[in-house]
Amino acid sequence: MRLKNLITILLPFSLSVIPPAIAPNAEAEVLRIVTSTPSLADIAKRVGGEHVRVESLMKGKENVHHVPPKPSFVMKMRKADMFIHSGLDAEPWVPQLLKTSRRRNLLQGAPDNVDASIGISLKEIPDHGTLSRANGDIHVYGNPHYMLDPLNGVIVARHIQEVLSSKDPSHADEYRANFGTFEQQTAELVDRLTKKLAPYHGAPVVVYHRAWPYFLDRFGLIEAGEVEPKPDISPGPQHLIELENSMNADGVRVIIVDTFNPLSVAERVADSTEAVAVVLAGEVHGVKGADDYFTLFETDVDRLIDAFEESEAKADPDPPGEG
Amino acid sequence: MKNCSLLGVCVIAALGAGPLAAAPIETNDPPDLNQPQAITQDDLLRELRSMRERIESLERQHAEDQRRLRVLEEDRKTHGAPAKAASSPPTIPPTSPPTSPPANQAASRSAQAPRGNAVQPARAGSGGASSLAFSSTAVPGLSNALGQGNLYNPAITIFGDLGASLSTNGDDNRFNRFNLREFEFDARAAISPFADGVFIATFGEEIEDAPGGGVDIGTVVDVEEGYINFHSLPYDLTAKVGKFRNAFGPSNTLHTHDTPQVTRPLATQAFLGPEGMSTLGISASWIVPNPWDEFIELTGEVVNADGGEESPILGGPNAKNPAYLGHLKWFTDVSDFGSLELGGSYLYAHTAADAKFDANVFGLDATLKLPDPEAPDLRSFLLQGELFYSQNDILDQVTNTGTRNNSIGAYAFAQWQLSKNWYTGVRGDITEFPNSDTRGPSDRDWAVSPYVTWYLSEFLRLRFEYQHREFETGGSWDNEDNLFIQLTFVLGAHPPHPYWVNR
Repeated sequence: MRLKNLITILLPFSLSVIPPAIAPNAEAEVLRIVTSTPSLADIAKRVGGEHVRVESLMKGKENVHHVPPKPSFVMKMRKADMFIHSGLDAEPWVPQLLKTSRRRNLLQGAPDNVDASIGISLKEIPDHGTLSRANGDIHVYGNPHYMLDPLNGVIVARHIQEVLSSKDPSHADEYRANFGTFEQQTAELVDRLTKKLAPYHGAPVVVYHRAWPYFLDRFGLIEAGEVEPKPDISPGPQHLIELENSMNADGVRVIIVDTFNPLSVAERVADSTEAVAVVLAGEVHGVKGADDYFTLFETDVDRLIDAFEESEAKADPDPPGEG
Repeated sequence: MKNCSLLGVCVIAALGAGPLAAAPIETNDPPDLNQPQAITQDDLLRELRSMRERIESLERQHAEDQRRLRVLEEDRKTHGAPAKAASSPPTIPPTSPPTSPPANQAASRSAQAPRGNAVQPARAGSGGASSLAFSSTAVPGLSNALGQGNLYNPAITIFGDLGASLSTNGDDNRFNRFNLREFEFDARAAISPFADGVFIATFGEEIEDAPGGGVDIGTVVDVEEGYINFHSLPYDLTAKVGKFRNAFGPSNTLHTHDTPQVTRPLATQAFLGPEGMSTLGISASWIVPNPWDEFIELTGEVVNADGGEESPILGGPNAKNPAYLGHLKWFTDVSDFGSLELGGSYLYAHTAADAKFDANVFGLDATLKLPDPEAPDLRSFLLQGELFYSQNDILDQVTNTGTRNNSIGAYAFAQWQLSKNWYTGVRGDITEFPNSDTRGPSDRDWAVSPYVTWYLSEFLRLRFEYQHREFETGGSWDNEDNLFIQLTFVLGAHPPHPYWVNR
C-alpha cells in the first residue's frame, strides 16, 4: 500500500515538471480576452477588432450577482491574456474565480485585470454610516448596473481602447479608430432611441429590481416604485397591495422585469392595475434579439414601447371610432 | 507597495479630490422631465465630447499628482520631512466652478474614498514605512485609521445555524428539542499577492450519551479550518497549509450550514465522521493539462492521522502519522448552464500506533446540475450521489490484534428549484459502519429524507426535512420518523460557496 500512497501524493509534483500543454496565447497575434458579461465582451470585440478573441463567462440571462463560478470558467481564464469585469461589488463570484484560475496576471490589481467601472459616475451611492441589510442587499459602492446607459458603454470602450493600446501598441491606431466608430454609433443609437421614446418622455414606470436607474435616466423615464420592497427581498402581499395603490394613483403603465426575476409576480400586480409587465434584457443575449450591445437597447426600447401601447389598449379597450 | 498604493490614493484624495468632486457631473443628470425636450445627436456628441474632456482632465490631474508624489517621496528620503510641496495648493485648477452634489447622488468614481483593490493602485514611489508615516502626516484625520491598520482587517462572516427536531424516538433525548447546531466565525483576507488566510471557528452544542443514561449537552469550540492558501504557485499549483476540510468528495468539503439538507448524508457520517473530516496538514492541487481542454484537477493531501475522537477511520492522537488522501475531479459543461462533475477519492491512514493496522477508503462521486436554459436563476435540477467503500483494521486494545472490516455506503439526492426562492428534494441513504462504538460491522442503516428549502433572502434560509430511518443494531431492525427544522442566517460579508450550492 505504501507505494500506492506515494504515487498518490507525488503524482502532482512529478508531473508538474512537464510544462503545461496549453500555453496562454498560442496564437501570438491575437489577444485573448475573457469578460464577465456579454456586454463587456461585445464592446471589447468592437474596439479590438480582428486583433482580439473575446469570450464572456456569463451567457446573458443570469443574475450578474449570482453567477455560479463553475470550474469550466477556470479553463477559460487560464487561456486569457486579459480579463475585463464590472468591478465594484457587482460580481461577488469573480474574486474566488481569479484565485482558482492560477493566473497571476489576472488577479485583482494586476495589469491585465481591467475594472470596467473605473471612470463611471455611479448612482445611488449609499451612506456608509448607515449601511445595513435591514435595507436589503445594498451595493456598497453604488448601483453597479451602469452598462444600461449606452454612454457609460462609451467610457468603458475608451478604457478598453487605452488598455489594448498599452498592451499592443502596434495596433493602437486601429483601436483608436474603432473606438471613434463605436462612439459615433452609440451617439446615433441614443439619438434614435430617444426620439422613439419621446412620446413616453417623463412616464412613470415600476421596476422589479433596482437595476434600471441608468437606463431610465438616459431615456427620460421616471422610476415610480419597485416590486421588491428592498433590493433582493421578495415581496409580500402587503407591499404588493401598497404598490398597486401607488401605481394606480401615479398612472404607472409599465413594470420592467429582469430576466432573472419571476415575471408571474409582476403580472399579478399588472392584473390589478392598468400596467403591463415586460421583461427587458439587462445584458446582451438576455432576451431574443439582444444580440449585441446596440441591439440590447434597441430590443429593450421596442419592448418598452410595445408594453406602453398594450397598456393603452388595456386601459381603453374600445377607443372612440372603433366601437 | 500596499502602503504606497494607499498613500497614492490618500494623497490624491486630499490634494485632488476637492477639485475632482467639484467637477460637474453631467453624464447621468436626469433630464428635466417637466419640460420634455428633443435630444439631438449634436447634444449627445457634445455630451460625449464633454465626457472625453473630463476623462482627459482627470488623467492629466492624476499624472500631475503622481509627479508631485514622486517629488515628495524624494524629498522625504533626502530630508526626512515633508517637502513644501505637501502644503502647496494643487497646481491643476478645477475643471469647472464648484457645484453642489446632484440630487441623484451621482458622483465620480475618481472622487470616491479608497476601497481596496477595486481602485486602480497608484504607482508612486517605493512605498514602505516612510510612505505610511508621510501619509499620516499629510492627511490629518486618516492617521488614526491607518495607524490602527483597521483597513486591512479580514472580511468577517458569521453564520448562525439553529435547529429543532420532532421524533417518534421519544427515548432519545437528542431529538424533540431545539438545537444550537453551530455558530461559525469565518474571517479571511489576503496575506500577500500570492497567499490568502482563512480562519473558521465553530461554536455549537455537543450531545453525548451520559454515563448513567440519557444525554449530556456541552458546548464545543473548535477550529474547523485555519490555513494559508497559496493560490498562485508555479506550475499551476495551489497549496493549503493548516487545518482544512479534506478533499474527499463533495459532501465532506461543505460546512454544516452549507449542506443541501438539514442532516449530513449517513454514509459521510459513518465513513468520515459526524461533522465530516477536517485535519491538519498540507494539500496541493493541480489542474491537469489535457488535449480536450477539460477541467481535470488532482488534489493530494498529507495530513495527520489524528482525526479526533469522532473519526471512524483515522486512529486518534497515537496513530502512526501521516495519512494520505488523493482526489481526482473532472468537470465538464453539458449545456450553456448545465454541468457534470465526476470524482474519485482515496484515503490511506493508520488506525493505531502500530503501523500494521491501517485503512483504505475509496470514494466515487457524481454531480449533475441542469438549470432551465430559459431561466437559470429560477428553475434548476440537481442530482448528486456518492459511494464509499472501506477496508479498515479495527484494533482490539486487549489482545492488540486487528479485525479487517469491509464496509460500503452511499447516498444520492435529487433537488428541484421550483422558483427563485423555493427548492425541494429527496435524499436516499444506505450505509454500513466501518468503525462505530454502537454499531456492529454488519449493521446497516437506510433512510429516505424529503426536504423543502425557502430562501427568505440571500442571507436568511428556512428548511424542513422529514426523515424515515430504518436501522439495524446487532441484527435486529428498528425505525424512527424525524422532522428537522433548520434556520440559517448570515451576518456580515457575502460568503463564498461551492458552485453547485445554489446560494
